Amino acid sequence: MSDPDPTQDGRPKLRASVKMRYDPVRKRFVLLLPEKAVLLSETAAEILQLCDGGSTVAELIADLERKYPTAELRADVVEFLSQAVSKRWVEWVLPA
Amino acid sequence: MLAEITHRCPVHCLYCSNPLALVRREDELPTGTWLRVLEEAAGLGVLQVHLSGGEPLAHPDLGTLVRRASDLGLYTNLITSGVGLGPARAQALRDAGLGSVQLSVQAADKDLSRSIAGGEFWEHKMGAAQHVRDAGLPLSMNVVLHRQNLHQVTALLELAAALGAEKVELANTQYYGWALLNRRHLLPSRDALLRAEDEVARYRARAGTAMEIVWVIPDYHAEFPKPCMNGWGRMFLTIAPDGTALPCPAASVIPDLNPPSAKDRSIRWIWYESRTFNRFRGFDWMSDPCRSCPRRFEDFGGCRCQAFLLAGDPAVTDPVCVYSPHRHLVTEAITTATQDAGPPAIYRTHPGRPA
Repeated sequence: MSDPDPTQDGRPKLRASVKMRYDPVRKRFVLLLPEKAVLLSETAAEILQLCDGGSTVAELIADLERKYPTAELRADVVEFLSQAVSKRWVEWVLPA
Repeated sequence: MLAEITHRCPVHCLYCSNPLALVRREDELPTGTWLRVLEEAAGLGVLQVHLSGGEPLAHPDLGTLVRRASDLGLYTNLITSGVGLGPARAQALRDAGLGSVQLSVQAADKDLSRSIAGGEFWEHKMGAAQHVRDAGLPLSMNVVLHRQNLHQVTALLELAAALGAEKVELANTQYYGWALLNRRHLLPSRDALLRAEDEVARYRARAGTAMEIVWVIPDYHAEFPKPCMNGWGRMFLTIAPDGTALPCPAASVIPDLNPPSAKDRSIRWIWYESRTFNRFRGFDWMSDPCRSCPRRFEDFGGCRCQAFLLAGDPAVTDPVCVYSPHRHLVTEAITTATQDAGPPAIYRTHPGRPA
């Protein structure tokens, strides 16, 4: 039995218990979780804003590459997303 | 920010961390003042509000407070015994914007739960967990651990998983308020603790990471103190039911603190200007061994309340620290408690109500 590879087919989505917003006091995006708050880098905030459960990782990367055409993003984005999953910020929505 | 909106509580836990002298209902802040406090806190940069007590569900305007906090962009967490959390209330709080619920559980079975909480609360708690999940709210289960329930650690983890908790916090008792009064009945032996830690490790290996498990260290048995509140006046603020603003929920015990009140001061003034919040802020207040210790940047000298409660001076090194000249007080407390529990444990009482 082999699981589908989420970094191919998965659609990353912020978990229901996680909220992201801009904090005007710190002038940064913050991620709010039960009993935790994380100050986000600009890049992290940009990726997480695309984690709506609608786009696949490939689509999300294509989106970012249109915006930053010179950068080779795939490896970094996949690495960031797998860390975001293990930190319980993001979950994979897999095709049925 | 921890908002203790009322000290009223139906439960009588032996380990209650609220102060011995509770705020009476007639002295509680009016809801209008709480709404202002939330607004000022959000303006200051507070990101999270923990609505606690006592039992916050005992406050009739809890929903209004959750709604305002949520409208202000604050992440709201309800810290509750679960008593009074039916399906309709859970839904209403979710609709008001509640972020998460932390449910306290005393034991893995009904009999031990009764013996620790001092009443029939088990069914309420199990029901509350279900209603929280049905409302689509993330559930975390909090268990205060001590001598009477440490042997149930595996069963408690299994219970949390069965209730659908995303997170379980196994919080070894900290000895403040009522818990200090019952310390001889609560302090575990080192052996019991090591067995429990081993059980947690084995459960983790077996169950994986589906549920987050937090183990809050038993600081009497540690070599170094906890970084209490992550430093005094550094990232944490408590507002007690009567509006008293404290850098730590237990700090009302420090006799000459004269804490400011949110009744007549702004949260900004309290945080930046008040003598109370500046008193143990940073490192200048420290004396040796903390003053010259490299660990001071990690543990901030430990807990000011514990220094006062055990050594009689809130400005000395936390007696838990192996470098503290008062460490023997902690060692003696462990020895005494594990040799002879003394007179029976006393259930938490509430003003104006029979024990």
